[in-house]
Formats: sequence, C-alpha cells, structure tokens
Amino acid sequence: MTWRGLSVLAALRDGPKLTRQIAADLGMSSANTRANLAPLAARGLVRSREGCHQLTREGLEVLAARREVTSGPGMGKAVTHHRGTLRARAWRAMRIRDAFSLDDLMLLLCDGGEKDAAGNLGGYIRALAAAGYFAPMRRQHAGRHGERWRLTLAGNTGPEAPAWNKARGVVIDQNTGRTFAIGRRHFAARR
Amino acid sequence: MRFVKTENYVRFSQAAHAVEQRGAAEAGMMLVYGLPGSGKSHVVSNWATKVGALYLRANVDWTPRYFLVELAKVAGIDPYGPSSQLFSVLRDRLAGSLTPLVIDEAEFTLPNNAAVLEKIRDFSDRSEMTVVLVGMERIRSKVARYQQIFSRIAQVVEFKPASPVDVGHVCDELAEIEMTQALKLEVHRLSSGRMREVLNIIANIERIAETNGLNQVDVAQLEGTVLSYNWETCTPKTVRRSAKSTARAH
Repeated sequence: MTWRGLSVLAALRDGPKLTRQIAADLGMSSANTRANLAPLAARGLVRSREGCHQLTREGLEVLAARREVTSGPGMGKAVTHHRGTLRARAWRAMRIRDAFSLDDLMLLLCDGGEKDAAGNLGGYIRALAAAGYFAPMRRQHAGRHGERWRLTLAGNTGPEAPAWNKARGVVIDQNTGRTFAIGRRHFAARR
Repeated sequence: MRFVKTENYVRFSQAAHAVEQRGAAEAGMMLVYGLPGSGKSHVVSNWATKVGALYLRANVDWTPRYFLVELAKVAGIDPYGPSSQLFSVLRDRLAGSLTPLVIDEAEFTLPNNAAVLEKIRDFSDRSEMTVVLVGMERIRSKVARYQQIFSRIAQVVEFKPASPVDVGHVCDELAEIEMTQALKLEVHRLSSGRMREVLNIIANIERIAETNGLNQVDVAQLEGTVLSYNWETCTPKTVRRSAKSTARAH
C-alpha cells in the first residue's frame, strides 16, 4: 500500500465522497484507497459509513495545519476499535439497559480477569457523562449503587463505542465523527 | 463485583453455541423463557454484550413496521423509507454479519396472529441471523401454536429457579458483608431462587448489618426479621432458624 493519508484528507475537503470518487480523484485503486482510509478513520480523522467518507473536526484541523499524517501507531491517539474491550462491551450494555450504575455494569460485564475494571469503567462513564451522553437518574438513597445514569436519545449515537482517550482528554465518537474535548483535570481527582 | 455464572447461564451458553453450529440455516431461532426475576435478561444481556448482538425490547404497541424501525436504529441504519425498502436495506446490511438479534419481552410480538414474530421469522430466514426470543414462562406454549415459527426454533432454554449453590455464589460476590452458610440457605428459601428477590434480600441484610455495625451476619442475628414479602398472599417472609439450614451450616 502506498500511504497518501494527507492526499486522501485533501480529497474530502469539499465534502463527503464515496470510496470510488476518492480513488478516481487521486488516481488510486479502490483497494488502496480503502487501505488509506482505514487508519484515518481509526485516528478519528475521517468518518466512514456505508462506503461514504467525510472529514471529522479533527480531520479538518489536521488538513488546515497540513500536519503530517503517518500510517503507523498513533502513539496513544488512535481510537480503539476492538469490539471485545471492556469499554466496548460497556457501551453495548448502556444501549441495552434503561439505566445503569458502575456497579450494574461491573455485575453484568466483569468476570474478575480485568485489570482495575472499576477504575477503567468509572473513568469511561465520567468521560461520557462530561461529553453529554447521559442524563443522571435521581438517586433514591446513598449506598452501594452509587450514581445512576441513562443514555439519552441523543447520546445513543450508534453501535460503535465512543473512544475515551485519557492521555489527550478527548472523547471521539465514530458514529457521528464528533470529538469532545473533556480535559484531563476533571478526572484526576476522582477514582 | 462481577458476573456470576449460574447453572442457567451454563445451559444458555451451551444452547447458544449449539444454535451457532446449527445444520439448517433457517432454524436459527432460540427461545428463552422462565419466571419473572429468574435472571433471563441479565444472562442474555451479558451474552449480547460479548457477541455484539443487537438487542431489542418489544413493546405492547409493536407492529412489523415498528420492529423494523427499532432494528434499524440499534444497527445504526437510517430508519426511513417504506417498510419493504427498510426490510431490504436491513437484510442487505445484516445478512452474513453473524450478528445475532435478541428480542426481550417477546410476548409483545404475539398479538395479531403473531404478525411481528412472523416478520422476525422472515427476517431471520432471509438473513440467516440467529434470533434469541426471551419471554415469560407461558411463551413456549403460545409460540408452539405457530408451527411455521416453532419449527425454526433450534433450542429452548428454560430458566429455572436458582439453586442454593448459585444463590451462595451471588451472596459471596455481591454482599458487602460476610454471610454464614446458614444465612445463604435462608436467602435461597426466602427468595425461592428468584435472582431479583435475592438481590433485594441481600440489600436488606446489608442495611441491617450497617445499622447494627455488623461485619458478619448469621441467621441467629436476623431470626424473626422480615426480609421480603409474598405479594400474592400479602404475608411477610421472615428469617427462621430451621433445623435444615442449621444442619447444613455445620
């Protein structure tokens, strides 16, 4: 594969395009174009749906700055797409359940083999809450069930789990292409 | 705190695996039924999150169109256009994806001569998707009236009341205080093995333990305490120190 990440981004400058349109613009094969699009989507720079691709806000920023985009590891910036991760499963559980707490998710998802599941899921819930995905449920009593949330209609954006990148303090939603800058300070003190 | 693998979970997992390995492509449906509070939705949700299944909860006002729109929404597909077009788009997108579909509260697919269930069967046939129907204890006999649907059901799993061993595991995993073996058996008796009731009773025991500053709780400390209610007979369920539970504890 010939890596032409920035060229592919530039081809999307004027709006969404199909894979074959990008390939025709750049004189590339469709297979090569798809191979270029995959890492860009994984980094949250491009949103792809049903063979149609468009720039995300981050993609526009990269294009405007003419920053070099490599095809290699994202150095902690890549969006996690692994479907079997605890967060991906937690997102599915949030979409299934009407309301949930951290304990509910742990009771449903954890098998004891996860490393610091409470910290991982707790941080993910707080990040998505800060990004506006949830509405709080009224607390019936203080106790082991803790804070309860429900995924709002607008927050239920699609089957792909939004990625929380703690190092950068951003939530990236592959379903909509939106990026939420949450910041890191909000999460530093709570665990 | 973690998911407790009960005997019902083991039987469900084996059945789900068997459906995935089925011979006839069109026999891709599975029926899960049992008493309310027996943990059906909990176990099926756990499986659904693992395999990435699409999960729908049927409503009392479901129609075939309503079902298609809900399915499109959870699959991330725009739910617009005529029903026939939506059906084709969904089939095109989901066929061959190996994504199972779960329909909870499946009783609501049965009104109007099972019109919604017929649509689900049609969708399952054409897309070769595995469909898991989850319902109450009487759904089996109701679905059996529709032979063209029932013949597509490859596996039937009945969720039975939890065993004393299962209830003991749940107490160990969830209770924030230590419970003696005799008390776990008493929790099983009071709950009749219904998981939802087990969770309520554990919460009540925790509250009593916290109020009284107890780290470990035994039957003797709770004897005569009301931990649950039988709402059918409007009678309280109280802890009692039976010879059986005392004998098992030792």
